[in-house]
Amino acid sequence: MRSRRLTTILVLTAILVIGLDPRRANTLPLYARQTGQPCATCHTAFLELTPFGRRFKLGGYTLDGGDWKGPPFAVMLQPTFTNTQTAQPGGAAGFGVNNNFVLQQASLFTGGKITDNLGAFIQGTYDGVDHRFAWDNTDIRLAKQVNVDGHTLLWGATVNNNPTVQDVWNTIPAWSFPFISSRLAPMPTASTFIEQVYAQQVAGFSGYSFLDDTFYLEFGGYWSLGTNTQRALGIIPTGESPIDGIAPYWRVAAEPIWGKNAWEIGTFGLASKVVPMGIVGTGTDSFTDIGIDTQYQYLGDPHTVTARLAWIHENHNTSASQTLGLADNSNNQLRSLNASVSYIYDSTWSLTAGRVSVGGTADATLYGTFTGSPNSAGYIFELAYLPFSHGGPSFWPWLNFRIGLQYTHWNKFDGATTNIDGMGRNASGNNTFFAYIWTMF
Amino acid sequence: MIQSASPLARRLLLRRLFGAVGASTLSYSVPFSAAAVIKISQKSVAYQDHPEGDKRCDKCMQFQPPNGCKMVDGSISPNGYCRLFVLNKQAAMRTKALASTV
Repeated sequence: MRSRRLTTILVLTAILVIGLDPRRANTLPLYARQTGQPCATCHTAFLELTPFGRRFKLGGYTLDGGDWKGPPFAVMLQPTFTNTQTAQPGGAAGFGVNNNFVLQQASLFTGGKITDNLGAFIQGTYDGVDHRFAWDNTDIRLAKQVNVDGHTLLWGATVNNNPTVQDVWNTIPAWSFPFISSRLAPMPTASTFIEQVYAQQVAGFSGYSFLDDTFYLEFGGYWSLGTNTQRALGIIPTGESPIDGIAPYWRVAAEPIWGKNAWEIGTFGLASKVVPMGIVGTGTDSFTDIGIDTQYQYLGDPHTVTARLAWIHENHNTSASQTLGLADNSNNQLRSLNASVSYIYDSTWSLTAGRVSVGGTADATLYGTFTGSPNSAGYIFELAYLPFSHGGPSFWPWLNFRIGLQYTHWNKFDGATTNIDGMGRNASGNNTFFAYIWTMF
Repeated sequence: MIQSASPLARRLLLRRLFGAVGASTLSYSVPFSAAAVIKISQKSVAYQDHPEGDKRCDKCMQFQPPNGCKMVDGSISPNGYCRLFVLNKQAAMRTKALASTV
């Protein structure tokens, strides 16, 4: 209860600082209201960004142009239905073994333009599966633009709580496809560290520049928040392997735009020493994640196509874990692939096919899988309908839905196709049908 | 289940919270140097210097006469067009009224 009170104090203070600034009271609606633009300006089909959406974010969420005079808030609701091919005895507490309806997330957003050069994206989320409220993705930025000798340089700094949440392309982990997944379906055990392992457990600071609207460069670092701070923010730190010191993060990308085409190619990474399970006295593990990514967008009217690809290689030194009996090997590798293609009609209908896979060295103790292998691979198909991307109903023009049907087919799960858990469950038993009504207003 | 924070954690959090509020207050009281408002490049919104059907910049709510835009960088032709076009209903009504008087 005390923790909840502290979270409430934190949220209310953020509201006071950001929402009630007397000099800016007229220029702080969230983004659609702030800019006067419909969803389709920033998103091909939310949450995937258009070139404009990317530049709005890099510009610190400061661009305005709308005539909204109200407070800067938005709400997100995600009622969902999940079916797996084979029931899951012993699934999430309080839910049936299959065919579950749940309000998966309810989020409150605030932020937007604070000054001409300072803006924010701040999200707090009620998790309907774990039944608790916590801070969620947060990105506060300072940005400026200068023209030097015929060149335009947009530069800035971000403070955020999730490696890659500050990124503007939909290839790397925080914003990659699938944009929404079931919280009640089994997911592969292994993932690289940069794939959301540290989301909301860390604070990060980085500086970035965007030269001539094409070349992007970012460098910064992340450090783990104390366990008591995390608890106060609604995060349960049990079992975490905190960063030891500061973990450097980097991102380099180029995005040429010509006509109706935008093509990005880049690299990103995170490296750190970590304290395995927070147990001190035996030294540290370390990891280096290096990713490459590319995204192509054809932005026609009404036809839009996006192709995305990200590949991450992780080298994981697990010598401290091995000493503690938490790993069999002193060194492991993981490789992660995420590739997808979307066709979007008039920002209203979206059809996506994706391939996800993770693979690497076997380590039964580290991954805890029956086979000892971290290997998983599957396909994801999704059809979504977004009826109000060009503007909502007259009583609330900023209302939008993403009503989706998603099917995930697993070829391999936790190292095997059949008998993945030693109890006769097959990878195909985790094939998931997922329906959602993602609501924003 | 949510675990309770210790008194030390609360003090630490409140200290950081007040520090953040103080820093924010300070940042608000120090005016930024005369940096221009950040605008979006013409390239990223597919700006063209001719209309798209009956959609023209001088009918858009973001247009700033004689040749500017609230959102897009650089010189903007009243006859231009870009992806950000949002009809300025007042301007459209004025145009319609003028047309009907001719």
